[in-house]
Amino acid sequence: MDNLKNAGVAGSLEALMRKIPGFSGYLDREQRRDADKLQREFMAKGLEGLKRKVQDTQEQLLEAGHMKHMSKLGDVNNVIDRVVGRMRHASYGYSGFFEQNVVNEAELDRLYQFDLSLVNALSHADEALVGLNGSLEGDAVRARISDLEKSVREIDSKLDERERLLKGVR
Amino acid sequence: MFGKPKEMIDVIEWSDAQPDAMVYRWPAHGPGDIKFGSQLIVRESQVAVFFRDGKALDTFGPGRHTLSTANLPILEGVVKRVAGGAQVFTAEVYFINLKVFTDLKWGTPNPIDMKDPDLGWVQLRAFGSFSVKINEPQLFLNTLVGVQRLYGSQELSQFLKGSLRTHLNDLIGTTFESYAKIRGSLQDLSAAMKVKVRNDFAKYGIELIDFFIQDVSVPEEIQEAFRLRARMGALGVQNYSQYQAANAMMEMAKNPGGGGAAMNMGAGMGMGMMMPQMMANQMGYPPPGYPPQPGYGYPPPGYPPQQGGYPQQGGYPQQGGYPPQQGGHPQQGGYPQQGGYPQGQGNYPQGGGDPQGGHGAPPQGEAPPAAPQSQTCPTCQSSNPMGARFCYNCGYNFAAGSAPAAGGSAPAPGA
Repeated sequence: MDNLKNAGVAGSLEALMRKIPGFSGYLDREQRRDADKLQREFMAKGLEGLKRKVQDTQEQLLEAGHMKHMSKLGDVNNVIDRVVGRMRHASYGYSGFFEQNVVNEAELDRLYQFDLSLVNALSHADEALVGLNGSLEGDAVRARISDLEKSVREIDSKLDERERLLKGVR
Repeated sequence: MFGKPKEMIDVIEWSDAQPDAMVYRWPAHGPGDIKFGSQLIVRESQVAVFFRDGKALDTFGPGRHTLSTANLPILEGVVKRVAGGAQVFTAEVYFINLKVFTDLKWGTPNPIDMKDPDLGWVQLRAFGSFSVKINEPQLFLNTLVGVQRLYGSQELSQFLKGSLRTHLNDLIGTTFESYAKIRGSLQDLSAAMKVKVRNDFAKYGIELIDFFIQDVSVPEEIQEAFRLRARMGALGVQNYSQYQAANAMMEMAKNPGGGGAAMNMGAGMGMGMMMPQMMANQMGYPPPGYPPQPGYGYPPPGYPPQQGGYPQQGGYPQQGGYPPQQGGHPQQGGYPQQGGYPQGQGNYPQGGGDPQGGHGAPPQGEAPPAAPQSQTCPTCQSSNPMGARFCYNCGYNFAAGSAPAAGGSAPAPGA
């Protein structure tokens, strides 16, 4: 981190290191693949945890006789499964980023910022689920399930952006 | 499924997995002696678990592994030396296939009884498919492979079907009020089933990936009744009797000639009973038991003609009993009286005397007596059609009341 002149890059990296244990950043070429894998694995595990919680919520709703929400929450779980799969099995199609020796600070800062926003998106999805669990009765349930689904889909679209970002680094 | 035992070999791998094979055991029978320094090749979507004395021990993920005491810490204690100084340990290796096993079928061999508000007790049958994946290899190995000797996805499917049936029975029995609601909620029911059974699968280290209910059905005769109801609805027929009558009419129209005797008789009887009411409904006559509405000036079709004709306007006379008539009861219900029908006394008029000469109201459903269809010759006692001018047997003149001419022959036609 001593090599980072830009205070913004250092700040973003520190924030990520606090969120993802063991994350070392993309500065050293040798560690870029490991750092990328760690980031994706962290997200995948977080999403799997989210899925388990969604399943628990489904059980509670079913016990309370709200079968009509089962299918919608099942859809949320399917989206989570898809995103987890993408996280785990993403190919390294953006070798420019992984192979080149030096990546400029502006690009690094953008990547760290983006990874940070991805981790934050996972937190938003968690919050949406907490909101749903807070009111499992009444008309608001459907709206809260929609909020949850939206937040999970946001992670999915952010993953697309991340891939584009890495491919754009030259 | 098992290959030839390969003891003391240098490479341990599972390369030819069958589509439904979940587990491969090396060696096929008994324990194998494994030499330190040999290679273990684990393919993508596989995991290898070392097993000894009925317990799952060290686990290896995808990759090429050179076996040593460093990566087999648990087995280090059972290492022995064989001739030549090689370090050997005894164990079995189980390769677990971690792919998703799709399209495993399930069904209900015994029907599920359900009380439906429309259909009464019905017997439901359901079928579908599900997909699973082993997500905890050691748990799976210890609970199903080690104990149940279960190696393939079809055997697993058989094993898990009991759980599926139990939960489906429970869900249908406790959640749905009718068969129609089940049909309308198959997607939610599938998702609910997935929630219900996932814990049953998870205790064996299996993750339920998908669960689909393809159909929940009732017996064929009830399905046929549904189709009939739909046809009746499309035709605008309100009840089954009307539908049958309409069908009979159509059949008669198709077969005006032969083969019609029995059908004509049956259809005619049915039609004779039902047509009056059908026509009354079509033409806007009030149903039995309701007072006539303004404008219902004519008696229902099929009602015998009355002497003096029907009143043309304003319905039946409001006072003085029934209009004069001959040979026939008034149609049940529908007759007016002043001030409407008395409650609890049927639909027959109470005031104004008994138009039937003190016989009281006709019983419900009794058909009006038929008009005379024949006339008897006073001379020869032969039966002749009503309206015949001469007796067909002896030539008696019904109109003039005169005896036949000598010779007794019937007049020529047209006479």
